[in-house]
Amino acid sequence: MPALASPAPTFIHAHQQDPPGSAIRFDDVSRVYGRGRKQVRALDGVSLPIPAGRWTAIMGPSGSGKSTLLHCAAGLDRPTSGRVFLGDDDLAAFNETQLTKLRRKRLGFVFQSFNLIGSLTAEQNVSLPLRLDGRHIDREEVRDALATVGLADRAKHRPAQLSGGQQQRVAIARALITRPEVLFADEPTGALDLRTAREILGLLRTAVDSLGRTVVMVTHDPAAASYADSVVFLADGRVVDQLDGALARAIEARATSLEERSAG
Amino acid sequence: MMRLALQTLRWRWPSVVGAFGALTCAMAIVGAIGILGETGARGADGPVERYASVPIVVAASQSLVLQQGDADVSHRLPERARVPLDTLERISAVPGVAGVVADVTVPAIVTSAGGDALVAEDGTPPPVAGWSSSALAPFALIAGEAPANEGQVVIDTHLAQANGLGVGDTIVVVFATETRALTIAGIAAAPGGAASPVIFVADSLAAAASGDPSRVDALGVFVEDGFDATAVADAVRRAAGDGTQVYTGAQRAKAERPEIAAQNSDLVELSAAVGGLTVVLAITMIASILGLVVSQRLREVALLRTIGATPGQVRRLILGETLLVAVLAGFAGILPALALAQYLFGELQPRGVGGAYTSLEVGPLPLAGAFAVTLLTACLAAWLASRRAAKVRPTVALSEVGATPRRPGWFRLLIGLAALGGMIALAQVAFSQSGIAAAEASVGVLMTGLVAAGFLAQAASALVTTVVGATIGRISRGTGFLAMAHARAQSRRMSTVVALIAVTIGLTVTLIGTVTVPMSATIEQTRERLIADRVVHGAQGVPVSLDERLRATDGVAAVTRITDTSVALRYSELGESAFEFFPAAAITSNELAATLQLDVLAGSLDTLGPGDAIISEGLSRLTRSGVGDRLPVWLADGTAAEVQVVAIYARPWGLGDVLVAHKTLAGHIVNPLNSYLLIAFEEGAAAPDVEEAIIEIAGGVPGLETMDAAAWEAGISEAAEANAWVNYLILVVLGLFCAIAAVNSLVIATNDRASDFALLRLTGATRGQILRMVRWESGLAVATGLALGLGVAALTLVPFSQGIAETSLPALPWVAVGAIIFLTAALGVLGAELPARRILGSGREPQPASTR
Repeated sequence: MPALASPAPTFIHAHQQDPPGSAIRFDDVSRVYGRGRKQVRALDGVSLPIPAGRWTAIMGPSGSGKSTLLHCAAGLDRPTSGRVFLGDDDLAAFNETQLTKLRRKRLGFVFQSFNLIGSLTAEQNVSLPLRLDGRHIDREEVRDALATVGLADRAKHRPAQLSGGQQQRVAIARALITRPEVLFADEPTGALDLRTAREILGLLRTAVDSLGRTVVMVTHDPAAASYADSVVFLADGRVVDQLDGALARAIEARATSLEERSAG
Repeated sequence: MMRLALQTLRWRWPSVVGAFGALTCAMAIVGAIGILGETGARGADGPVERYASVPIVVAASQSLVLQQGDADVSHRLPERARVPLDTLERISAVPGVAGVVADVTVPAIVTSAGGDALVAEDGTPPPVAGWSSSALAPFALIAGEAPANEGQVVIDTHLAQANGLGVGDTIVVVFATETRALTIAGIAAAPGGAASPVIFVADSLAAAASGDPSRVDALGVFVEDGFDATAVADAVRRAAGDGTQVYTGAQRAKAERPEIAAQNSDLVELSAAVGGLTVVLAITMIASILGLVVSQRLREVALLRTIGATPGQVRRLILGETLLVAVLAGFAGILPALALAQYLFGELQPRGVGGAYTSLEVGPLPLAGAFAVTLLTACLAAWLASRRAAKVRPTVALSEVGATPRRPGWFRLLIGLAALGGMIALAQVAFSQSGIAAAEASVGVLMTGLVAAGFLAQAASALVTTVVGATIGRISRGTGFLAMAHARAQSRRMSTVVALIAVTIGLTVTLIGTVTVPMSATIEQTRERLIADRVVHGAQGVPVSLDERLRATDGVAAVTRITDTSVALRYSELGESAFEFFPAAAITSNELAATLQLDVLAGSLDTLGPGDAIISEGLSRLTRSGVGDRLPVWLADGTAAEVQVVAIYARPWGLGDVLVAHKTLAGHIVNPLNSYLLIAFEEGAAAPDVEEAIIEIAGGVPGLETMDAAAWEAGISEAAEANAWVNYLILVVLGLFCAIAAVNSLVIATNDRASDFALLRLTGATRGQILRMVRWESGLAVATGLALGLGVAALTLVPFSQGIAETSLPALPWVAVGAIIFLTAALGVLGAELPARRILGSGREPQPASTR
C-alpha cells in the first residue's frame, strides 16, 4: 500500500500571492509538420509562461497540440519558429547531446506507458539517470526515493513483476531522483484505474507541495487536471483559455465545450 | 492473415532483409557447390581419338570394390589398373567379335638425337604405344613403313612437323628401364588428323617397357558386320568378367584418358566433401537467424493472440511469411550461385580439379536441391520457433515489458555438453590412433565441435556475463552496466551472435589448421630427414639407368631412388572396418643411411627386400602390427599383395607410411620414371667436381634438374602451398558465408533495440552513451564467440597436431589467424554499431514510445 494517502486537492496556496518566476517560457512557438497540402500546424504561435513551483496541466482534445507542446518544452522536439526557455536558457542554443544532458540533469519524465527499462530492477531503473550522468549513486537515496513512492519492498523486482501502478511509481521515483527543475508528465494516469490514478496524482501533488518541484502534465482527464494549480487549454495549436485553481467540474465543462467546438 | 503479415513487413524490414540476405547466401553457396558436383559428374572425357575405329573398348575397372561391414564399398584407385592379357582370348571367342587389339601405352621421355625433348604443341610429352594399337584409331602410314623391329619407330605427323623430323632420322626414347635410340621408319596420321601425338614402337618393346607384359592398358574390340554392337558389348562384358569395364560410344574416351576421368572424379569428391559441410553450415545459420527473427516478434504475436488469433493462425502467419521470404531468397540466390560456381570452377579446373574437356554444367538438379535445403530449413526453423511463439500467453502483450531474464536452458546445456564430450572423445580416439587419417577425422570432430559451440553459446554467454559482468559494470558504471543488464536479460539475442561468431572462427581456424599442420609436418620432417647432398628430379621423370651411372661417379657415396605411390590397408577404427590408401614410396634401401635419416623405432632398414615393408609408427598403431608381422595390402593399381614389416619409423610426413622396395611395385605403377634421386657425396670429395660430373650425366636427359637439399625443401614447400590453394579457396568461401550470417544476426539483433534505445534516450542517455553501451554488448558477444570458437579450434587442432607432428602447438599461420580474428571482431562490432547509428539517427530527438 502507498505510504502516502492521497491528499485532498488544495486550490489555495500560500505562495500564490507573489508571482513566481517562470520555470519554462514559450515565446511565440509554432511547430509545423509536413509540407504543402499535408502541412499540419501542431502549435500556432503559443506564448505561455509556466510558473516555477506550481503544477500546470495542459488540456485539450486530441490533435490540439498538447503533446507537441510538452515535447518542445522538454527539448524532445524543436519548434519551427519561436523560442522555448528553460529558466533563463534558450533551448535552441543546445545541440542534441547538450539537450540530452540538460534533460537528465534538469528535467524528469513520467509517461502513460511507464517506459521502464525491462532488463533493470526497480532500484536500477531509479538510479539510471544518476548512472548515465556519471554521478555517485547513494543507495540510501535510491531506497528513500522508492520508499517515498511506497515501494521500499519492491527494490529488486523487475518491471514485468510489478503492477501498472507500481511501475508508474517507479517511474516517478526515477523522475524525481535527479531533483529536476521541471517534471513532465504525459497522461501519467491514462493507463491506470481510478484509485491507482488518484494515488499517482497524490504523489505528484506531494512533489510540488513538499519538494517544491514544478510539474507540467498533459492530460485529457478533467479529474486529473483538477489536481493541478492551473490548467491551460489548447485547441488547434493555440492557447484558448487558462484557469487557475479551477474546480474539476468547471474544467470538465470547459473541456467538453472545446471537444464540441473541435468536432463541429 | 497473410495480408496483415505483408503490411507489417515494412515495419520490420531490417530483420526481413537480414533473413533474406542469409537465405540468399545459403542458396548461392549450396547451389554453387551442387553445380560443381554436377559438373564433375557430367564431366566431359574429351573426344574419342585413339580408339575411334573400335565400337567397344575393354579396360580394367579403375576402382576396387571391397566388402566393408554389410555393404560393398567402391574405392577409386590412385594409379591406372591394367587388364590381364588373358582377357583378350576370352573376348575374342565372343560371337560377333571380329578381332581384338591390345593397346600398350608406356610413359617415356622422348628426345631428338641431339637431346632436345620432343613434345606436342601444348608441351606434353607424347605417349609411346605398341604399333598394333595404331589400328584402333586407325592411324595410316603417310610415309615409310611400319616398325619392323625393336630398333624402328613410327611417329605421327604432328610430331614430325613440329620437330622437323622425317623417315630415317633417329630419336631417343628413355623408358623407365632402358634408353633406346630408334630410327624413324614411317610417319602416320589419324583420320582427319585430329589425334594427339603418339609414338609407335614394336609391340614387343612396348610390352617389355610397361614392366608387366602380362597386362595391357586396354583392349579394342572390332565387331563383325551384321552384328549389333550393343548386344556384342553385353556379351563382351560377360566374357571380360569382374575387374573390367566395357565402354562404348563416347564413353570410350574414359578408357583413352583415364586421368581426365580421375580429375572429374576429384571435382565430384571435392564437391561432396565441401557440400556436406556447407549444408550443415547453411542449416545452422538459417536456423539461428530465423529463430532470432521470430523471437523478436513475440510481443507482436502476443498482441495478435490478444485480439483473437489462435496459436494455429500465428504459426501459419509466421510460416507463410518465412515461406515467402525463403522463396524470394531462393530465386535471388540463383544468379549468385551461378556466378560463384563459375568463379570456383575457373579456379579449380586449371589446378586439375575438373578435367580439361569439362565445362560448367548448370542443370536444374543442384539448384532445385539448394532451393529445397534453403526452403525446408527455413520453414522447419520458423515452424519450431513459431511453436514457441504461439505458446506465448496473450497477457504478455498487456504487460509493457517482455524482457525478463530467461530461465537457463538446461536442455540446451546438456546437449551442448554431450556434444563437447563427444567431440573431445572423438578427437582423442581419432587422432591418437594415427596421424594419417587425422585430416579426414578432423572434419567429423569439427562438425561435433560446431554443434557443441552452437548449443553452449547461451550457457557461455550467461557464464561470461556473470563472471565479467560485475567487473564491467564497475569499470563503466553507466554504459557498461546497462550493457551487462541487457546481456543478462536478453541472453538469447546475445547467444545467437555468440554462436555464429564461434562457428565462423571455429570453422575457419580449424580448416586452416587441417591444411597447415600436415603441410608444416611435411616440410619439417622432410628437412629433418634429408641428409643427401644433392637431389635430382625431372619434370618428365628420372630414367632408372641414371642410378648406376651416378653411383659409379667419383665422389658419389650413395644414390637413393624414391618413387611416390600409394598403398592401401584395411584397419578398424572405432570398431568400424575402414579401408584407405596411404601415401607410400618405393625406395632403394641399401645405401639409405647416407641419404635419409629415418627415425627408426624398431627393426632394421638393411633388409628391405621384395615383399618387405617399413611402416610408420602411426600405421603400426592403426593396424596393431609390429616387426615380423605380415600385412595384407593393396597396391596403387588395386593388386592385392602381402608385405612383411621389417621396421617401424616415426615422422613419416613427406615420405610415406609404407616404404617398400622398387621390385615390389614393378608393373603396378604407371610411370616408374616419376621419381627422384637422393645423392650423398663421399666424405672429403670435392663437391663442385662431383656436382659437375652429376650435371654432365643428368644433362643427357631433358628436364632433369640437380639441386641441393635446401632448394628441394623449398620446392616441396612451394608445391604444398600450391596444393593448399584449393583448400584456402573453399575456406574463404565458407568463412565469408559464416561472417555474413554472423553480421546479419548482429544487424537483426541490434535493429530490435529501437524501442530500448528510445527509452534510454528519454531517460537521459546521450547518443554517445548508447553507442558505447552497444559497443560493450557487441564487444562482449564477439569476445565470447571468439573464445568459444578458438576453444573448438584448439580442441580439434591440438590432438590433430599431436597425432601428425608430435607437437601440441598446431602449426598455424599466426598472422593470418590474427587477421581473421581481427576481421571477425571488427565485423562483429561494426555489425552492431552501424545499425545502432542508423536507429539513433543523426541528431534526431528521441520520441517517447507513447507517440509512436
